[in-house]
Amino acid sequence: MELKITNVQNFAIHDGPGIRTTVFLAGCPLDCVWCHNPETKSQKPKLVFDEKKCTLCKACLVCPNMVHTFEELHKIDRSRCVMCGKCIEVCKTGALSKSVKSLTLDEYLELVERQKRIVGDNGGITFSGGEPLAQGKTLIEFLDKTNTHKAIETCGYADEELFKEVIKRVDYVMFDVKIADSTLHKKYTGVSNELILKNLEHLRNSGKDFILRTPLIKGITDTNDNLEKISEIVGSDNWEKLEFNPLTPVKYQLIGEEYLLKNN
Amino acid sequence: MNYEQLKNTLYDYYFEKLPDMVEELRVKVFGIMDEYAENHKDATSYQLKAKFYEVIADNFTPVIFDDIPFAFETGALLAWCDGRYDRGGEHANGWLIRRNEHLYEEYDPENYKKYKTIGGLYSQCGIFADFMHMGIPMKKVFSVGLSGVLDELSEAKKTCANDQETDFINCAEAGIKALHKIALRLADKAREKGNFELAEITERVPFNPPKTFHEGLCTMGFMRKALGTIEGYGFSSMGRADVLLKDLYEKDKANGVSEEEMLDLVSRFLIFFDATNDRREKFDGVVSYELENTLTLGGCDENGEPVYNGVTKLFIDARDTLNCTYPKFMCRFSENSPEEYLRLISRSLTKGQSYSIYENDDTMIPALLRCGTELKDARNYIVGGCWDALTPDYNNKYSGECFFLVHPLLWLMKKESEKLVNLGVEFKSFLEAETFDELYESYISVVGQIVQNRISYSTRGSQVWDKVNPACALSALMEPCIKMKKDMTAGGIKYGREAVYFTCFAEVCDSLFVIKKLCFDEKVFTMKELFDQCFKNWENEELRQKVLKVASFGDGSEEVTAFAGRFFDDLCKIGDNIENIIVGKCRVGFNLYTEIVRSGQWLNALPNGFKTGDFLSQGITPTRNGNKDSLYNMLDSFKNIDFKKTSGNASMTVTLPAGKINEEAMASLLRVFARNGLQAIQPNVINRDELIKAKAEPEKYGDIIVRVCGFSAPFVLLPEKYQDEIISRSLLEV
Repeated sequence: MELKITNVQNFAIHDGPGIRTTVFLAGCPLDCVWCHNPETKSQKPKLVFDEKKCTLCKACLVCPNMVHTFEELHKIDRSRCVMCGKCIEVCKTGALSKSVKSLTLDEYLELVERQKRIVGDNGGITFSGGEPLAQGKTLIEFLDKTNTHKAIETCGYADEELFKEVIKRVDYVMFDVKIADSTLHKKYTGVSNELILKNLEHLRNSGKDFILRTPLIKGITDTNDNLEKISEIVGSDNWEKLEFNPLTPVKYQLIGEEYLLKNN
Repeated sequence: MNYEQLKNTLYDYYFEKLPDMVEELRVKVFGIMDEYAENHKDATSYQLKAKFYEVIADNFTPVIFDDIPFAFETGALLAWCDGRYDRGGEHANGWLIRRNEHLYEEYDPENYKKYKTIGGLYSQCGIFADFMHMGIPMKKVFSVGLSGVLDELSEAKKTCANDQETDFINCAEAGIKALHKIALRLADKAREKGNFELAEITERVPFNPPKTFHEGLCTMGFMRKALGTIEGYGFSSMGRADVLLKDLYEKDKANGVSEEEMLDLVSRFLIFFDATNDRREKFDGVVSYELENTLTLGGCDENGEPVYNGVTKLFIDARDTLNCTYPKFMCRFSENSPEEYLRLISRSLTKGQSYSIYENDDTMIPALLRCGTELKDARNYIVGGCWDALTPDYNNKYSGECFFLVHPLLWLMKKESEKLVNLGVEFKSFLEAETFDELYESYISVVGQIVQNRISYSTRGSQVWDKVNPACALSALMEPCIKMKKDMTAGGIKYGREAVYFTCFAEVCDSLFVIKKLCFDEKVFTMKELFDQCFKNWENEELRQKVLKVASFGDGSEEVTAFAGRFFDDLCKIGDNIENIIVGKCRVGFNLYTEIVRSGQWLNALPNGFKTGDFLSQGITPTRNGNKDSLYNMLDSFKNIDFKKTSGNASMTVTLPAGKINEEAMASLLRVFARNGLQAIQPNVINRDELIKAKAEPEKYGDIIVRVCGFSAPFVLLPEKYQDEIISRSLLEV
């Protein structure tokens, strides 16, 4: 039993109460144009190349598909890459890595033990991503294995019954409300928001601690119109507006993709 | 109140007028005392000190400022002098020490010469005893006043059994009377200037215990300055402000004194001490500018109840508003500290202003218990100087040497093993070792022998201490000196301990581990190849890169973490096995002062890849080698290290990224540090790019206050190398 993840970060202080370990799950049903974790959109692993760490040692020329070339700089032709992993194995500096890895149950339990040992009751584990509910069934199995404080960051786009089952098992929810207008929601995220708003109601009825969050994206989500309408949706719930992550374009570079909002 | 103007008034006094006053007083007092000593050739050190007290109280120049409602400036100490007779220049209070210091050498000339001439092995705060880090015993002054102490002395006089006891009691009486006279002369000056309220207060306290918040502050400041004026020792702590002043604060509040009034008093109190650090110009070096005034806040009281009250808030609010780096605030905390308190002491830090050391009660109190301190005394500890945990009502440090672990390492690498021969230790050079364990045991044995020899020399030599410069006024305030009729310097106190501060723990731990891994386990080099590179300052960068890839303490890897635990325990055992003077165990600590820059400039290269010119690590902080950006890895690295063994304190620098950590998170982090058993935290919250810009445009970044090593300073005023050292510290990723 394993989860597909992109990263584990400890000393996370903005992912729920206290000091936490955050597990970033791979895969997401949305395709937000501003996504600041693009490596998590798909569960299919991609080749990650951090140019700053590359020492031009050329060890990655073991690649059987000629993905790597060196003229002046190290260039990567991702169209040739089949993710065999040979270049990653030989890269001594970690310039090359895989975007998606596995987290087994045993490894998760070790994380939980370490988190508890170091931080005690002053934090917990947060599942983020990507969208954790995209691996909802496996996630439930993991959640059932420990009683440490658990939090989840979710876009809310998931089967309602699955959503309710996951929420039952966590202590704190960070729920995204990105765009109030359904048509605009579909335009910028790939899906409409009706299901999300239904799950928001389930969350409200669950009795769990939660906070609603809106990422502020210039000209898209931060408009007066959108924020006013979201404010009506939010009502008296706790609501946080999240500043845009300035490192977002860099993350796209790492996986060789273009950040569509680069002029934003 | 225009606090900037007040500061300028003080700058003018401290840096333009005061140096001449100090020298004038010194010449006068030395003249009078030289003549007196000439006419009283058989006078004991106590008798001479008694006369000295009288002379200095009669001859100092009282100074009263218009906008400072306190009367404790004696014109006898240079601005940045904590009382130590030679700090920043010679002072009148050094007369007796200068006269008698030859006794140290004459007591044991061979060892005196040996220990004075070992370059760099120790960084000493005094050849036999620590002259610099005395805590001020405030308990008696606040409870019975100087008049109560005189009563106690008067009673004790009736039962003196011999001349020595009589000498001490008479000298103590002279000292306390001198303190009273100083207060009366200051009161007269205040009256002369038309400040009748201040005159009245100064006549009352500290002769009597303080009855108001204002009087409490007067008492604290007076004891700091006046004791410094008369004793010749450095006084580094004014005690636990929020314990001493709590009842007075609450009483005043009940009587209608406003928070604003009390905040104003605290503000002017802080400025008085902060202005002794001239921030108008860049520092030329740092040591002289480092004034060791400290105040301790927070923690728990002697019943174990948390200390956090209106006084705590007043001091933190005043400091944060006025940007004062002095007095140094030593903030005690624990895993169970009140949330509001932890957020309050985190507030300035999260804004890029690091003023305090954060001291974990959960390890320091057990450590003090372990070395023989009673529980209620241990709970009442203060942090003085940079990081000394003291119980000043009952003890001050006997000695405190920073022992450089790197030197025996280098000597055993056979560069200068004649040094070991001269020190008289038995040793086996590393090159002779057939196994790593043999090599390691050889190192530990040498360190143990050197420390034991040095401390036992210090212990023997301290028996001559009271013949050099007894501290009778100070002793009269400490228990149980009057009951025992014995000066502190003659062993009259409840606790008196040797201390050894190991330095360069991480550098040596990593170096030993490299030797183990690369020379013994993996046989990548021979020891000779490795040591040759060290003696050539790592000319071969390719080999150095191999060394830098070896796991190092602080990166969380299992094997080096286990080794660090073993090394730590063995060093603590060295301290445990040293016979102490009065009670309990020797205090072991892991600290390092400005040598992090200064010594790094000349230290030989080391097997862990350190090159001459690199910066050293402070205290128990891991080196900058390898990947040290993970908090959890760092904390895991300490899992085999028990700071309940280090009553000498183990300090660690922690650097966090600016803009990412708020008060709530910092409060959580402090709890995590406490939970994981760390001891003294010296944090910075920095933006590295901003610090680099600040070097080029200092006028724009004057508000950044950084924790350097045992003290804080405006970043832009630091010498460049200290700025670079801070910029280079490992940054924890959030």
